[in-house]
Amino acid sequence: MMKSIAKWFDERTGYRDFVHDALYERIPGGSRWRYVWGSTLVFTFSVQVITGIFLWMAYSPSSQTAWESVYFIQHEMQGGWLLRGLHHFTAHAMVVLLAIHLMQVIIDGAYNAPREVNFWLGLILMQIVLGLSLTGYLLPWDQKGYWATQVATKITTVIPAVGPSLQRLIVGGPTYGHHTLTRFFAMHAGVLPMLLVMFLVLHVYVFRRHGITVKDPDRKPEESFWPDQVLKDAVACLGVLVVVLLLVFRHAPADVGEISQLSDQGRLGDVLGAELGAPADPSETYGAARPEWYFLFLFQLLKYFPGESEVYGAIVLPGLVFLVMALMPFWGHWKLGHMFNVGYIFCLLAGAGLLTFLAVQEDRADPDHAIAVDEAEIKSQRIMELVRGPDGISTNARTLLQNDPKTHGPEMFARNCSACHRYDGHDGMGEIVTLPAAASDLGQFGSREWIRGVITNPAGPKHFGPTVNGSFNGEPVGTRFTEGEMADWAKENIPNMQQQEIDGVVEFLLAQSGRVDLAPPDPALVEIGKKFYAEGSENASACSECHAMTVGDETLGEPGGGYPDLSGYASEDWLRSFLRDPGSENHYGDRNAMPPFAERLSQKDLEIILRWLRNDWHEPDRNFDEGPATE
Amino acid sequence: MEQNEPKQRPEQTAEAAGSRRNFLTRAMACLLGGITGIVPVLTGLFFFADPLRSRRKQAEGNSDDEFLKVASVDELLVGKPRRVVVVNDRTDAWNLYRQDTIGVVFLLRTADGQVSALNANCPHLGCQVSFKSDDQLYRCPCHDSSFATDGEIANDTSPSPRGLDPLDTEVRDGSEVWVKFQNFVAGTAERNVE
Repeated sequence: MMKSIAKWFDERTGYRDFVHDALYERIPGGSRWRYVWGSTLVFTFSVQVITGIFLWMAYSPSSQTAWESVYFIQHEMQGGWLLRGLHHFTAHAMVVLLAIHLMQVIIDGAYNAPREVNFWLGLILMQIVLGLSLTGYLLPWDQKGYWATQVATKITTVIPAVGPSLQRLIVGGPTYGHHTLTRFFAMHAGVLPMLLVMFLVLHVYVFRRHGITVKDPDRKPEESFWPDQVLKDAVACLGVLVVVLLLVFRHAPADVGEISQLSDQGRLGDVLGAELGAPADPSETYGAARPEWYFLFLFQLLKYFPGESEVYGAIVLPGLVFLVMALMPFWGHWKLGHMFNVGYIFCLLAGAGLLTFLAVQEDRADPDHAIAVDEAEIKSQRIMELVRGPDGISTNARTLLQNDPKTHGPEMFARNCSACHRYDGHDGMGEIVTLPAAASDLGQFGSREWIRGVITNPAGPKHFGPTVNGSFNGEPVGTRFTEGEMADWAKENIPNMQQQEIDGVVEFLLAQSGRVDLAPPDPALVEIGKKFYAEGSENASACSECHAMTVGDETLGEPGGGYPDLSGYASEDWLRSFLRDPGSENHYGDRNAMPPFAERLSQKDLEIILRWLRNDWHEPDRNFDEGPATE
Repeated sequence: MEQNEPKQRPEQTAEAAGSRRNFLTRAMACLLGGITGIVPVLTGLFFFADPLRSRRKQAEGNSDDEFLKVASVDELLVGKPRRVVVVNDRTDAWNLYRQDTIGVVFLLRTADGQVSALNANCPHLGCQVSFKSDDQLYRCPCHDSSFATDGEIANDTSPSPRGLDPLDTEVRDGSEVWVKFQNFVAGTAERNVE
């Protein structure tokens, strides 16, 4: 039955001859391990097509969704990390196999007549594969791919005359955006694979026409492609697959229990497969921008072509090197020519190897690069926490990170506040400022210790002490605060207060701030504090004599007395109002010595600073009882 | 085309040798080649099957009992169905949309102060019905289904296998209309929650 169907089909298609021709190619001298490389390339390309099509089903090419969809593939979809890992590392394997295949062709002189055209087809295929690598690197739209590809596309501008227009055509506009991704994706998943298939068909067709290049046909009796060579090819492909899988699993925890725990939580994508950095952000300096390892030599090469001469390093030199390679068949049949070719390809590989080594070496020796890599790592961890946080991704992941106080608070503080204030002694980013501080140290702002300090020692070094170094509107601040009324009050009254009263005022003020990162205020102490605040004691005068405060419907003291009103002290609203205009009547009034930030900062930046000062950001597993979760 | 002479095939000599080794080579080539090829295909299919898995719910509803507040009784006229959009947090792959449209219902207030709700999706194939006040019928714009105000099928030629899907409704605090919003599988006579 099967036989008659097969016969029917064969009479109409001639498939038997086709299959026969495909399988029973003659291999004089027998099958050999050294013939496997071309087949491994076909295999890796097939893997890329299969995994690529499945990835395509979940990938969304736009600058609002590319990173987000890749995040979803990697961390949320079942087997996504494995699929993406296979695609990513098979691409790497392909580049290596390509180099091996090329070397072998040159060493064996397989480009000599009549095989020149096939050699050129191979060189074209190599360019297509490199094009696939380059376009694929951008698609996740993470910082690494974004900045590395920026460099690669900017290079085209150095081409005389057409450069800038060419760059616009590639990028899809003057700057990177939606159309960069749609174009790169169409190239990566459409145009380039199609070209690759076309040239591959030609390559294999011409290869079959001339047969395999055999050095020693009498080595062994002749064999055919099937099954002898197929078995060797299959073993080699399996080997490639095993290496790729090892790379996918390279960060797997050694402990099996840990793996199954990750698997239960759906967190395998956090450690396995290809990495995904923080989402692309044009507003950030990304110091860790480097191309994929196999392009590093080109990256390093450009360092030796300063300024206008870049076109030589980026275009002319690689072009010439490639041209010489393409011309190899013309002198390859002379012994000396062949030796030149072999020497040439070895020198090229050694040169590329040396440049790659230098690139890595220079990065290793550069502390700034190490810091940049660490920062990139911190941000890619942080974005994961935010995406999994209570707000999820409402628009895109980049905004999530941009609005994150934990990520951007330190630099905002350093830029806007650290001229006068300090943060635990530094500028917010950990840099020690040489100029003396001219205002309080806000590192522990709003904490119990900080409030206690303001009350008991307002002129101390963490609070108003440094103001003696300051000036405001051209006038030195002098001892306005250090010997001011608050300092006097503390000197006179603190020694006469009971410990419980001091603790009470601290708790009472803390209760106004509504901080979520600190242990909640003790209600009994809050009551004691409130009483002292409003009425004072026999021996000490009340806070409300100067500082009015509204708590609920109650007003303690007389508002509008020209002293800071402490309603909602250190709360989000209080801090917002204070930062916007510290000289307003309910804050420092005419004693003020701090510039208003209402105009200086955007609403967004102001919110970041005030939330950062209050340790108010999403923290997974934050333990509220153990004080601020600072790093 | 006729072939006059059978070709001399190299495999015939190999077959003539008929060695055990040759069979092993074939079997191993098939086995190893198969294993190598199947890995990316199975990985892809497993990934592709992701939608079949029930995902942990990211969006949290407004209430614990899946009822959502959709309107107040005062907005409804007795006997006149009113189209209302149901709003809740909605997850779309990686995006979490707060308070976004998740569906449409028709609310009907009865004389005794009760409110009933119908899912606006036609049970035939899911087009959204609208209410035509001139003949007091819900009409589907796609395949000529029509339904009475109580949701029952109103035309003999209706392709719909069942009437419009009623939803559990409660009036809370005397004036708030709460609906347990659900979608049902289209095209079947039974009502199965999607």
